[in-house]
Amino acid sequence: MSTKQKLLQTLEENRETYLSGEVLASTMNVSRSAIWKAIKGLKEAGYEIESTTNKGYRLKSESDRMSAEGIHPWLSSTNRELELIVYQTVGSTNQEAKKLALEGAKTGTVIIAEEQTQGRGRMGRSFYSPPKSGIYLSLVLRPDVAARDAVLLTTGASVGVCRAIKKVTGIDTQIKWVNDIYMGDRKIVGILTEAVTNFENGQFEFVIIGIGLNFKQPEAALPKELEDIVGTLFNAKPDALTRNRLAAEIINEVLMICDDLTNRSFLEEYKTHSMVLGKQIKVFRNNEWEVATALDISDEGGLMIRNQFGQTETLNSGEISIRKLE
Amino acid sequence: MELNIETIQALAKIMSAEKLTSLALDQGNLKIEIKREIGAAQPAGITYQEPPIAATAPLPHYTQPVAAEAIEIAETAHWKEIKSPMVGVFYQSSQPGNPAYVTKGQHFSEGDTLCIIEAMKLMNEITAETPGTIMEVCVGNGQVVEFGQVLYRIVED
Repeated sequence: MSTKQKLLQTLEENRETYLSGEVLASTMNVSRSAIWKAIKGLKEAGYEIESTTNKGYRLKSESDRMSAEGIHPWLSSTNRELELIVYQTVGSTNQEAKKLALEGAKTGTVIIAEEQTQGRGRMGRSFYSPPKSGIYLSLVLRPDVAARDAVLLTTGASVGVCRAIKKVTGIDTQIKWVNDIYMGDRKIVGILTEAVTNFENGQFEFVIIGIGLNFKQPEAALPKELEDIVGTLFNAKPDALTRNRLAAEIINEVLMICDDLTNRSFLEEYKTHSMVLGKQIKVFRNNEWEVATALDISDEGGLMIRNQFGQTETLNSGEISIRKLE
Repeated sequence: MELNIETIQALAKIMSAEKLTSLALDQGNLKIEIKREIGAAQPAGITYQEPPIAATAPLPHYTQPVAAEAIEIAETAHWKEIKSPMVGVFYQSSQPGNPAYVTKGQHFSEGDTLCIIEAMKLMNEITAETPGTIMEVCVGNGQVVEFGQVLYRIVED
């Protein structure tokens, strides 16, 4: 780690405290002029650093740039060795993760971007990913389960994200089956999970869990077609919270659930967060929308419904809507 | 097909000529289901010119020489089946409107994506283990497949 990286991590770890050049130099075991040079370098890279005579340096509270150094201090002890790769701009973090996975990236490798130019959802839909306002994160996993048991990954990931949001912001969020996360009636998180399977033994080569979270209002206005659908966790950056902090917690919580998938205890939590259970919904299949009632979640994360003919059945794929009822 | 008295009459003629026992037509997504049950009880009130086929009478297919069947088996004996590793929806392409990853007769290389199976919003790419050629695509785009269901029949290089 370079002096600049070490300095950034120290500043991120101590955001509330001023650290003098002298203290920084002695803890990092470098000269004071090396600290001064590193501060200058960070400022040039766009970090907003307050420097006050007699007190020292600290990151401004509005400073909120995604970085490995900013995430690392908040990772749980078991995740400290994970490889964190942070890009300023990338086509899509899932695409990048897939490329790295094919080249042999280890389980738990994290790819993060400040901005995605081709952020995407399922079936080639796009995911609006403007800079400085979201968390765009992909995890490479190599789970040791058969493909047919791994369907719980998507429900597991959504519970992990809800837990992380609750833990660092106190905000309760809801899940729309399968794995869209809402605050009120606005979608604030989208999850795209992609796997590559070896058909010979039915085992995953790897799985990429891509998470896109709208943290605060972007500088540019939302595209018109998203105005009534998409929301953000906050209007503006809260003083004591950074996107790095939340990203670290998402990594911690999602990995904890996904490492122990067959322990289905998270499904109870999934049900309490569900915004569809007990509700009238519409189900899209055979190219049309059918009315149904959402009853429960199965042990595999499937949505149990009462269909238009009064029969009970479990959905394991397809699209549902609460909105389309109106 | 427009349903009027002429088409119904035409269909009835086909039914009687082919000795069909039922014919279902679903114009919504153009579904046609035709059945010929051997020895099935004929609906009352309808008399046929010809006697109903006896249950023991073989259909033309089964009267083909044995040799022809044997050749067919020999040709497909080295075909390999690619089966679905999970219950889910079969997709032939990465997104609607995109060309299929592979089609009948197409050659593919090791590591190529053949299709996607989606379950619980998990998009699962099935990749080729060895280079080969697609001999048969066994399921339709958007169809729900079972665990172990055959998706493709292939011949390895």
